[in-house]
This record gives sequence, structure tokens and C-alpha cells, in this order.
Amino acid sequence: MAKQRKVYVTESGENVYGVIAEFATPADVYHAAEKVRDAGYSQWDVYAPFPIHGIDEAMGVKRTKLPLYCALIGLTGAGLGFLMQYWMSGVDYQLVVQGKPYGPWEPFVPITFELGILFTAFSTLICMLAMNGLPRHNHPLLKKDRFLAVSDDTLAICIESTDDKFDPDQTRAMLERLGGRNIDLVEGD
Amino acid sequence: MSSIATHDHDAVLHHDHSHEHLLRDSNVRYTGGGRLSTLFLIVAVVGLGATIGSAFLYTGKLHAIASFQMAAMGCLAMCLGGMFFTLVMHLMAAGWSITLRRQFENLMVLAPVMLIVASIVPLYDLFIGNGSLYLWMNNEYQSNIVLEKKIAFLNPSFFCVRLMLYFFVWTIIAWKLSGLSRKQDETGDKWLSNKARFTSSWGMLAFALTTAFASFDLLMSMDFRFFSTMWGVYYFASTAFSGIAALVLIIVPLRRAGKLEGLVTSEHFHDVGKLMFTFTVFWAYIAFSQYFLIWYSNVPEETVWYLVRKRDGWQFVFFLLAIGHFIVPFLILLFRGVKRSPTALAVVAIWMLFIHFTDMFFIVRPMVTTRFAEGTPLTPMAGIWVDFAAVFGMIGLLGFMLVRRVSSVPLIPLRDPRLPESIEHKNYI
Repeated sequence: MAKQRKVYVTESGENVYGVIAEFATPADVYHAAEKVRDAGYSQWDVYAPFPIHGIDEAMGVKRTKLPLYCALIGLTGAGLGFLMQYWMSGVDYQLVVQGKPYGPWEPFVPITFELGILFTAFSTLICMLAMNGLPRHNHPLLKKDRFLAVSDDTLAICIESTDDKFDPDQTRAMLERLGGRNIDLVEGD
Repeated sequence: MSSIATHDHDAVLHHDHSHEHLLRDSNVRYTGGGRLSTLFLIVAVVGLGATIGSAFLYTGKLHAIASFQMAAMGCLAMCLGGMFFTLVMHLMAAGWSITLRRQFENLMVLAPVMLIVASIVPLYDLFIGNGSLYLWMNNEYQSNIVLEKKIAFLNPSFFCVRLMLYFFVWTIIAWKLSGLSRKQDETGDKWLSNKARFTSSWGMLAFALTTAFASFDLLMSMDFRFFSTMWGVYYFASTAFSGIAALVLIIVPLRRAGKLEGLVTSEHFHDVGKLMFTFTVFWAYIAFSQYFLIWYSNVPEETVWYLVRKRDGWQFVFFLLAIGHFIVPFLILLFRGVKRSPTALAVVAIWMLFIHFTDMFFIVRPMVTTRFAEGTPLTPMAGIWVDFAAVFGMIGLLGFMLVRRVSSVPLIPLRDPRLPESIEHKNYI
């Protein structure tokens, strides 16, 4: 059941990406994040030049599903590896090696293991990139000169317009209440 | 300015103050073990009594001593597992596991006792029983060409010397490490941790060698024709596997009894679960490596050991081990929720001990044959009640000693310098 999402447009005709607010200290942004989380927002992020301990809990970030995908793809790889070897030496091209039977499971184990590892490793990287929407060449936030300071000395929260609860005025008002400074609208897709 | 930073700072400054209430006697001492130890003693007497009694029934003497030895080696593995983890935690200066270490020490101090129990059958075979289970002790095989080549190692006097050496080394390690730990409870001298670390440095080397050779002497030498360079590691893998499972089965009931509150948390269980996972994989790796190379190279004196274990019903035990000793715990312990739940971990630990004894069963019981070399082994299910009686009896004996030990010492190293680190331990992923 896809909800019809309201699209906000700025005066210059661009779509609204979200609302950004700057915060002075890690404690401020930490507590603001707790409030944003409790207000029920889900499409938003905290930007900081360094890791903040416990910020994932303050943001209410759920555990990633990545391990599940990796495990499923890894087991698929292991299964395929086993089947490949069984088909090759047990079915398609039977050879007597050292008087061993056709298609024994024992020599298949190392390669089954290796293919399980290989698939897991690749799926970890590829799923991680896909789930993060990477790689991408540009980001709407990068148009903001002030935003570039989050890699230096600024902490920021950006609530995105894709969030169901997003409303340009109310969201801005909330960020103001939480102590956000230099609150601004971000344009972009 | 930053309230997060200030909180952390406060926590560091006031460690001792904020944890004082966790170290109250009702939380770190267990005194209600009287009935439990009686129960274990009854199980021990009934189980071991049934095992010894079965020697005079239709199952026969050989089956009885094989079951007894299988159970003894399984319980010895748990105690050696406790010794291994104590040693490795001292060596690595591990902080997170301090609140668990005392239980590993409790297992460790029972290792010399279990060695005595595990020496009963070989010494009986050597002096009275004429090598019924340990065939190299049998007069009939003294002129065997394979045994003649190994006589420098497999002879009665050297064998006895080695048993005494294992006993001596394990006693020294257990006595020194548990002694230092208990002394620190009283004096609070932080430098005792360094002494324990030094003891562990040579102790680990001595432990590795004695465990490997004890497994050669007490398990591998039953069939003197067989040899495997993996054997020492294989038994070591079992010791760590069963030792960590035994730890869970000590800690979880203590937590249920309202002890160790705030000292052993789901964060600790999470890491214990990771260790259970680790040694599940490690055992599988070692067991497969041993089997795989023997299967591939196809050398008769090696394959003979697996040949009798892949027919007459033993092939089912073989695959039960592959699935139950590896795949089942592997898949279950992958889940984070299982590792963080004491109840789920306890269920997995019970399964791990069951499959650990199945492993010992797979090693020892096929030695019960109608006649060596020519004879076929008994099927796994024949007279299996003797094996169950022996295992339950031996666990009863170990449990009896363990409960008495656990209730006589504090449940954690009370004044270890890394105790605050352990209490604050947290997994960030």
C-alpha cells in the first residue's frame, strides 16, 4: 500500500530535498536526535565530523538486514559450489581418481567452503553499496556551502522530504525548538 | 559543555563507588548447593554403579570399561577447557571476561582429579586386565610388527611416567592460577595479575603439549596401529568446545538463582556465544582435516580406524557428528538473539555437551569388538544404556565436585584490577 507522497516545490521551481539545521555541540545534536526520533521521523540523518557514541540509539537506527542477505547468498554460493563439482566429476565427466568413487563429498568441501566465502564477501560489499544507494556522484546537500563544514566543525540534522511526517513549516519549527541554528531548506531531487 | 562526555568521565572516575553494590555477598557467593551436590552424588553413584554392575551382565566387562573411559575423557575435556580459557584470558589480559574467569578456574582445578579418574581404566588394563581396551598392553600383540616399532613410546613404564607428568603439570598450573586468583580476592594486589600472566606464558606451552600427549596416550593408543598428527588438536578442539558449554551451564543456573546480577550480562553471554560458535567451527575444521587427509592418502594403518567407524551402524554416528557437531550449532549460533539470550545459550550448551559425548562415544566405543582386528565392533545401539549410565554418572561425579567448589569460593575474582572493565563491557555491534 504505497502512500501518495506530497511533493514540495520551492519558489524557484526545484523539488525540496529536506530541511537542515546546525547544532553547536555533540550533546545538543544527540538530544535533538532523540527528540526527532520520538517525533516519529524515519527519513533523516545526523551529520558529524567524528563518530558520536550512542548516536545510533539516539536516532533509533534499526539493525541492518545486511547479515541476513550475506548469509542467504553465501549459502547459495556454497550450494552452487557443491553442485558444480558434483555435476562435473560425478555426472558429466566421470574419472577414476585414486580408486575413489564418482562424486564423493569429501574433496568438494574445500571448494564448497571457498565459494561460500567468495559469495559472502561479494554480497557483503555489493549489498552494502546498494542498501546505501552508493555509488552516487552528487548529493543535494553538497550544494550547501555551510554543509561542507560538517567534515570540519559543524554538526547537522537533515530531515528529508521523503518522510511521511515531513512538512516544510512544521519540521522547520520543530528543529528550531530543538535548538537548531541556520535552519535552511535544501533543494534537490 | 557536552553532557555525553561528562557522563563518561564521571563513570570512569567513580567506578569503584558505583559497582560496590554489585559485589554484595548475596550476589557473588553461592551457598545453596547442598541439595544440588547431593543430587549429583546420587546420579554419580547410580550411574557409575550401573556401569560397573553392567560388567557382570550380558553387555560384559569390555563394554563397561569402554563406556567408563569414554565418559571420563569427555569430562576431562571440560576441565581442560576451563584450564585453556583461564590461561588464554590471562595471556591476552582479557578485560571483558573477568566476571566469568572464576568458573573457568573452578573447572580447571578439577582437571587433575578427572585425570585420576581417566587413568583408572588404563592402569587397570596395564596391571590387571591384560589390555582389553588399550590393546598395546595386551600380551597377545606384543610381537605385532607395528607395535614393535612403537615400543619405545608405548611401554608400561614410560606410559606411567607420562601419566604422572600430566598430573604434575596440570596440578601446578591449576594450583598456581587459582591460588593467585584467590589470593587477589583477599589482598587486592593488582600485580598478582601479572604473576598469573607469567604463569600462563609457560603454562600455555605446557598445557598444549600435555593435552596433546594425554590424548595420544588415553585415546589414540587404544588402537595402536592408528596414528594421526591431528589427534592432539582434535582433542584440544573438544576441550575448548565442551569447556565453554560447561561454563554456560554453570553461569546460567547461577543467574537464575539471582546471582551475578549486573556482573554477567547479555553482553557477556553474547561474547560467550561467539566463543561457542568459534570452537564449533574450529572442531569442524580439525575433524574434517583429519578425516579428509586420511581419506585421500588411503594409507591402510590410518584408514583402518575410519573403516570400522563407517559401517555396522557407525556411519550414522559419523554423519550425526558432521551435522550435530557442526551444522546445527553453526546455524543456530549465527543468530545474534540466540547469543544474547541465556536460556537459548543454555539449550545450545546442553546440545553441545550431548554431541561432545557422542564424539567421545564415536572414538572409544568401536573398540568394543568381538575380537581385535578380525572382530567387528558392536553396533552403536547395542547396550547403549551402559554408555548413558556412564556419561550421566561421570557428569554426576564432576557436577558434585563442581557444585562443592563453586559454593566454597566467591563467584567472581572480587578484586581483579580489570573488574570494572568487565562490568562495563559492551558489544557495539
